[in-house]
Amino acid sequence: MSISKLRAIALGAVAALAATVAFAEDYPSHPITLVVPFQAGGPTDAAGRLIGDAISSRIGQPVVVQNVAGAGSTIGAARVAEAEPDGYTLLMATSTAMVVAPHIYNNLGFDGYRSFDPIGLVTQAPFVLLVSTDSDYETLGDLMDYGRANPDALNYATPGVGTVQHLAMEMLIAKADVKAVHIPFKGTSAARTAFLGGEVDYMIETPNAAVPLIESGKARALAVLSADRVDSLGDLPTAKEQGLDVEARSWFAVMAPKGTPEDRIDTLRGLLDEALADEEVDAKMKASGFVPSPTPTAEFESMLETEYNNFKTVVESAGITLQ
Amino acid sequence: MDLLQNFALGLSVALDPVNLLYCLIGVFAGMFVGVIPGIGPMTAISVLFPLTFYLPPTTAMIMLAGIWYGTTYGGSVASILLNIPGTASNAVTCLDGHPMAKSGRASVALLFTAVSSFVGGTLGTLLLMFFAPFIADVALSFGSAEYFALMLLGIVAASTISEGSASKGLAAVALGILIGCVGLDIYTGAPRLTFGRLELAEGVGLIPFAMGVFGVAEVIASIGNVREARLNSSTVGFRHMKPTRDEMRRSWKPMLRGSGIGAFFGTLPGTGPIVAAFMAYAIEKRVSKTPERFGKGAVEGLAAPEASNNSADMTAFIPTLALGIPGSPTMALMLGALIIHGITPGPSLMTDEPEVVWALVLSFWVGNLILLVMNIPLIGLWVRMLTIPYRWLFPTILAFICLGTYAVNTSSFDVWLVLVFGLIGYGMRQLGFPIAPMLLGFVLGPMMEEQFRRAMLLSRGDLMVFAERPISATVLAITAAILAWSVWSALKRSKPLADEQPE
Repeated sequence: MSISKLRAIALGAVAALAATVAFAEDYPSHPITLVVPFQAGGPTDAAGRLIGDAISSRIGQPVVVQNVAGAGSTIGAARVAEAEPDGYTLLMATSTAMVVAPHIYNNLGFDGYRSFDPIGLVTQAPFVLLVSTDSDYETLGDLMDYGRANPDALNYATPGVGTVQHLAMEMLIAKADVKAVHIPFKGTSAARTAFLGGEVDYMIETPNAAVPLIESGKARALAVLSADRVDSLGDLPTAKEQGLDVEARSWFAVMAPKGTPEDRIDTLRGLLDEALADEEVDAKMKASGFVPSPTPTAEFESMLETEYNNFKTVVESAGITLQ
Repeated sequence: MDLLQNFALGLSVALDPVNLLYCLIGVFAGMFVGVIPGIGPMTAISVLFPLTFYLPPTTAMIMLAGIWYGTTYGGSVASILLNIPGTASNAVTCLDGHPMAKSGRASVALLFTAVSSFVGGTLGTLLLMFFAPFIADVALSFGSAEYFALMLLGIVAASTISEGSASKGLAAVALGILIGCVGLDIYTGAPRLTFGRLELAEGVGLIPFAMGVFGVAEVIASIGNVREARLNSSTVGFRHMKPTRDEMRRSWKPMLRGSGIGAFFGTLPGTGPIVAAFMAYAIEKRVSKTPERFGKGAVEGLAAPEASNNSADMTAFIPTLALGIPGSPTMALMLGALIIHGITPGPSLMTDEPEVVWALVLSFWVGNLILLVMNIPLIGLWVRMLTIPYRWLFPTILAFICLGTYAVNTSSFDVWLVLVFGLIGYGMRQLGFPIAPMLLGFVLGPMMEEQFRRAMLLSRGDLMVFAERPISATVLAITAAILAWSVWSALKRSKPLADEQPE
C-alpha cells in the first residue's frame, strides 16, 4: 500500500471520528454564526441582532452576527448555502435571495430556498402603493384607469431590476392591463428621493417607511398589497378590495444550509419561536417597524413555494432576464 | 423663537457629559482610523455599530457622526506624510500636501489642514442648522437631468487637475470610468465585465479600488527608493508649525470657497465629500493667478479640498435629517442607529425628534472644535510617525489596508481586488499616468451614465430635456464655457511658442 493511500485512510478515519464526535456532542456546544447578508445598520441587521441576542441568552452560547453584504443579499446567502450543514451557520434570509434571485441570476451558487432548510419566518411586511399628494389619484382605480388610457405615460420607481418591488409592480400592472415605464434606482433611498422630488408617479414601500411619508403629507397611499387591511395604515383598503387581486410582501426568515440534522433544526425552531414570543424582542422589533410573524413551519414552507413559483411566472411573462 | 429654543435644547443635550464623552470617543476613534490607510469611515462605523445597540439613540448618533467627520480630519495626515490618502475623500490632498511635506514643511501642511477642516466643518454645520429644510427641498428638485449636467461639469472641470500631459490625465479618467462600469447594468441587469463573478455584480467597491491604486501602489513604489527623500522629521514643534504671512494671506479665500463648494456637493445625495474635494481643488486651480504652483506644494491646493470635504461631511446630513433619506451607505448606517431604537427617519424627523437632531447638529460643532484643539498638539506626534523605519511602517500599512478592506463585507475577494488595483496603480505611476483623475472617473462615470439613462427613460428618449430644464441648461452652459475656455487658453499658450520657433 502506498504512503498516499495510507495517508488518505488515516485522514478518512480522523474525519469519521470527528464526525461521530460532532454528532454525539450537545448542540450547541460552541458559538453559532448568523450571517446577515447586508452591511451593519440596516433593518435586516437590526432584526438579526435582536433574534441573535434572544437565542444566545437561551443557549448560553454567543450568536455572532456576521455581515456578508453584496449583490442584493445573494452573496451572504451563497456563503451559508456552501457552509457545513451542522447548525452552526445560519442565514437571515431575504425574500429577494430566496424566491426572486434564483429566477434572475444563473450564477448564484444556490437554488433559492431549495438549498436551505427553513428554521422560521421572522417578520413580513406588505407593500403599500404610494402616489404624491400633488397628484389627482385618490384610489387605485384612478391610477390604473389613467395608465390604461395613456399607455407608457406613468413612471414607477423601484430599488432596482429584479427586486421584489419590481416584480410586484410587474404583477400589478399586468393584472390591471396597464403599460407603465419602470424606472429602476440603486436602492430604496434613491427611489424614495426621486419619488419625493416628483420624478416618478408611484412606488411601493413597506409600512414602516410609508407611514412617515404619509403623515408628513408628502405621499398618499392608494392601496396595501395584502390579504387584510393593516392597522398602522388606518382604513386604507387593500388592492383586492379595489378589484386587483395582488399580494406582495417583503419578509425575512432564518434558514439553515440544506442537510442540517433534523434534531438541530427542531432545536433551532423551538429557540426561534421562543425568541419571537419574547416580550422584549417583540417590543423592540415593533419599535423598529417590524411585526414579528411566528408562522407554523408547514405554512411557511408553502408560502415559500407559492412565492417561488409566482415570481417564476412573473419573471418569465415579463421577460426579465439578467443573464 | 423656535430656532433659538431648538438651539438651546440641542446645546444642552450635546454638552451633557455622557454625550460629550461619546463625541470625544467618536472623533478620537475617527481621527485615528482616518490616519490609518485602508480603514475608512465605513469600516470604522460598521465595526463599531453593534456598540450603539447599548447606547441611547442620540448618544449613538453623536458617536457615529464623530467617527464620520473625524476620519476626514485624520485622513489628510497620511495623505500629506505618506502620499497615501487615509480615506478616499483625502485623495486630492496628496497633490499639494505631500510636496509640502517633502520640502520639510509637514507641520505647516498639517496645521493648514486642521484649520481648513475646522472652517469647512463649521460653515457646513451653520448651513445645516439654519437652512436644512430649505436646502433639502432644493436638493429634491434636482432630477436626473440636473444630476447628469452636474456630473458632466464635475468631470470636465476636474479631469485636468493633475500636472503633466493632459492626454494622460484624460486616459486616467477614461480608465476610471471603465472600472466604474463593472457590475450589473442597473437598467437591464446585464452583467458587464464581471467575469462571471457574483462578487462583481454590484461593481468594484470604492474602498478596494482607492486603497489599491493609492495605498498599495505607493507602498510598492517606495520599495525602490527608500533612501531617497527621507522626510526631515527633526522639524517638529510649534516653531516649525508657523506658516508664512504669505501662506496665511493666500489660504483664507480658498478655505471659504472650498467650504461653499463642499456644502453644495455634500447636500446632493450620492455625490458627497470625494467629488466636493475634487471640485474645490479644480476651481482653486482655475481661479488662481499662478496655477503652475499647484502640485508643487501650493497651500491653496491643500486648504480648499480639506475645507470642502469637511463641509460636505456636515451637509451630507441635510438630506439624511431633513428627509430621512441617506445620501450614502455610511449615512444609511447612521440612520440604522435610529431605526434600531425605534425612531423611523422620515421627512418629519426634525419636527418629531428635535432633541436628537439638534443635539446631533450641535455636537458636530463641538466635535470639530475638539478635533482642532486635539490636532494641533498631535501634529508633532504624526510627524514623528515618519521616523518609524519603512520596513516596519509599510508592512503595517499593507496589513491595515487588507484588514480594513476585508472588514467591510467580510470578503476575501475584495482583498484580491486591492492587490489587482495596487498593481494597476503601480503600473500607471511608472508610466507617468496621474492616479487622482482615475478616482474621479471611477466615482463620477457610473453616476453620469445612470443619470443620463434615467433622464432618457423619463423623457422617452428626448434629448431636449437637458435644455428645457433651467438648472440643467445653466450647468451645461457653464460646462461648455469651461471647455471653450480651456481650448482657447491652450491655443493661446501654444501660439507664442510656435511663433518663437522660426527665430
